[in-house]
Order: sequence, then C-alpha cells, then structure tokens
Amino acid sequence: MDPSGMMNEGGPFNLAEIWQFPLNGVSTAGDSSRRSFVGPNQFGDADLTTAANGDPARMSHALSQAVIEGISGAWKRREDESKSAKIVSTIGASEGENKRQKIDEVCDGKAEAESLGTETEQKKQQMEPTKDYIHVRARRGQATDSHSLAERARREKISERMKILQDLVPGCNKVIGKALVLDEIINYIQSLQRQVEFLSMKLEAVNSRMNPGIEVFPPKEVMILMIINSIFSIFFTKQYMFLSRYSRGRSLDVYAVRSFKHCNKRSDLCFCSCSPKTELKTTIFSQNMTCFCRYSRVGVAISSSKHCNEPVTLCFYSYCLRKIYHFLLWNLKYKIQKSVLFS
Amino acid sequence: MASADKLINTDVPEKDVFAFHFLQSLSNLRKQNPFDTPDQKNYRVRKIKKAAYVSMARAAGGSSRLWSRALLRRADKDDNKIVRFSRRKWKISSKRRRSNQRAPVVEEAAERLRNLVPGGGGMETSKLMEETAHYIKCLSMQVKVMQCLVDGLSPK
Repeated sequence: MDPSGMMNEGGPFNLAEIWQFPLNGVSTAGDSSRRSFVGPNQFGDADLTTAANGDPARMSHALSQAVIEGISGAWKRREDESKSAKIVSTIGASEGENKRQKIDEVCDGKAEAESLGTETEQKKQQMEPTKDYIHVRARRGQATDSHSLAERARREKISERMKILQDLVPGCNKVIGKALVLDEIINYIQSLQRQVEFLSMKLEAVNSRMNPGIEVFPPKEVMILMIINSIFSIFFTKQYMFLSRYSRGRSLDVYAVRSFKHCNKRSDLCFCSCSPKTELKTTIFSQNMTCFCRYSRVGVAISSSKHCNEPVTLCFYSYCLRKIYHFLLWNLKYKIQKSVLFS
Repeated sequence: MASADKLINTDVPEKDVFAFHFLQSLSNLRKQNPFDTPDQKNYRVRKIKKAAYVSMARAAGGSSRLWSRALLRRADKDDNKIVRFSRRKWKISSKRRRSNQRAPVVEEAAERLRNLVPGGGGMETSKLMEETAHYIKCLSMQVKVMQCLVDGLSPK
C-alpha cells in the first residue's frame, strides 16, 4: 500500500520516500532489500530519464540561450542597425537642419538684400527733398537748436514792426536804439491822447456857448444859422450832408440827408444837390421862406414855422454874419443875393 | 523757416468815416442830455471824450482790431451793458515774460506801451507793435477831425 500510496502521491514524495526506504531496507529484511534495489533502479531510471531530460533540457536551454543569444545578437545587430539608422537619421536630420539653417540663412540674406535696397531707396527719398530748399550752413558760434531759431525769427518780426512804427511817428527816423524809439512812440501816443482830451474840453465849451440865451431875433437869423451848418457839412463829409434843425431853443440836432427823397420825411427842413448854373427854389409849406443860391452845388430851403420864434443869442448872430462871407467867398466862390438874405 | 511773413495790414478808413461816426455820437449825446446845467462841466467833458474814443473804435472797424474791441468792451462795461464779444484770454504769464532775457530798458518801454494801448496786456510783442501802428493812425485821424470841428465852430 505504501509504495502504491507513494506512487500515487507524486515524484518528489516518491524520491523522498525512496531515499528513506533504502535506509530502512538496510536495517530491515530482504523484501525491504529487494524493494530498496527496485527503488534505486526506478531512481536510476528516473535519474537517467531526468538526466536525459536534463540534458535535452540543458541542450534546449543552451539552444534556447543560443537562439536567444542569436536573436539578441540579431537584435543587437538590429539595435545597432537601428542605432546606426537612428544615427543616420539624426545625421540626416542634422543635415536637414543644417540645410534648413542654410535655407534660413539664404532667406536672411535675401531679406538683408531687400532691406539694403529699401535703405538705398530711403536714401534716395531723403536726397530728393534736399533739392527743394537751399541748405545754408550756420556760422561759427551760432546756435542751431529750434528754440534759438524761433527766437531769432521772432526778433526779426519785432524789428520789422518797429520800422513801420518809426515811419508813422514824426521825427522818429533819426533816433537810434530800440529803447529810445519805443520812448518816442510812447510820447507821441500820450500827446495824441492829451490832444483828444483838450479838444473835447473845447468842444464842450463851444457847446455850452452855443446854448440859447434870452434874446429873440427875427426868422432871417434862423435862415443864416441853417446855411452855416450846411456849409460845415461840406467840409466834414462828401457822402453825407449834415443839416441842423433848430428846435425848442435847447439843442441842435444833426440829421443826415443823402438825396432829395429824404426831404419828404422831414417837414421842417429840405436839402438837395443840383447842378451848377441852375437856380433852386423849393416850397414846402405856405409860410416857408426860401433862399436862392445860384451857381453852387448846394441849395437850402428852410421853413419859417413855429421854430422862428425861438430865441437865439446875439453873439451867435454876429458870428453867423462873418462866417457867411468867409465860407461862401473863399470856398464856394459865390455871391449871395442880398435882397433875400439881408432884406 | 522758409515761409515769408504775411503783409502787415495797417490801412485806416478815410476822414469822412471818422467824422460821420463822431458827429453821430455827439448828436446822440445831445439827445440824451437835453437839459444841461453849467455845474456839470466835467461830466460833459468826460462824456465827449468817451464819445470820441468810441466813435474812433467803431470807425476803425469795430471788432476787427484788438484795441478797438478792447475800447468798445470797456465802454460797454462802463454803461453796464452786456459784453457781446467772445472772451479770449491771451494773457501772457509773468514767467514767460521773465524768461525773455532782454535788456531791462527795452522791457520797461514795452511794458509802458502795453499799458498805453487799449487791450495791450494780452498781446505778444510783435502783435503789440502792429496794433500800436494802427492805433496811432486812427488816433491822429480822430485828432484831425476834432480839430477841424473845433476850428469850424468856435468864433474868432
């Protein structure tokens, strides 16, 4: 049973039991010795088989190892080949990179060439505008920054204006020096302003003197007053003729009449211009008094209405008489019909 | 720098225009003050003087010149009227004036001229010269007109 059990159990157990049994056989009877002899035979067979198995196994291992080695060698070769291929590929890649770099360099070179061309074009363009204006070299020690140039232009401008002012002010051309010229100009302006003030005072005095008084005069003095005022207007303006209207004995109003059409708007006063060598006679109202001015360009017609009774100063009366001869004889060269004015 | 300076225009209208404006302003004065009294002589003198300056400014072209514009604005302010001109502020800062390193005598003279010409405070020097030239022409013309009027009206 035991051997059968031993056989059933397995090889390793069998081997172990076999090794124990020979020891037991030696100590025990012949059966046991036979069994021990049988055992070694089996063991020997097993050994042979195992040896044979081992040998082919070893051989197979060796072969496999050889194959593996061969394969590995092939692999190694392949690896070497692949490595060499990789190296080649890397070399190729590097070569490619080199080529690419070369291409890039070529492109760079072309770009540089283009940039050079543009630079030359820019130079040409820069050369062109220099022909427009004249290039003047600055003198030694003369500043050329923009501020100095602007200041110099400003000074030239001021000097031009100063020359114009010198021409305007009398007696200023002989003066030398900018400060003195300015002083002369200032003095001239101040003198003009003082003259304006003085003349305004004089005008005020004349106005107050021309104020009406208490005395009363006949209407022909009123006519004389109108004539003198109309004569004044000739000297002041050529476009507008100024005529004065005596009203309410307080102040003299000044009106401007350009043509005959305006006469209808002013019932008390009428004025128009006529050609020489013609007589003018105008009637506005039934009570008008008219005066004739022959051989003159000015004619005056004055109405004798309510205003005739207003007072006029005696001083003004004598002034009017003297001025009539002065203006008419020396300016208009005309003789007055005494019958009308001094009747 | 190559550009040429534009021509300076200092043309002044004729004597007729100045006379017309002055006589018109005088007649307006008489209308406004019908009842005159001898006690207000100074008042009347100042009125006539102001009328002379205002008529001169109007004859010169109204608001086309800086000095005439300044005169009219001053007159309107005196009358408490509404100022109609555009308010331009061209005041030159004192720093800029001081930065101009020029002779002190010339600077003082320019300052006095600036105070003398109406509206001169806000002008630069070249513009001040131009306005001064025009102002001198107009002022001399006004003086001639007033002289003629006084000679004509005053008894001998």
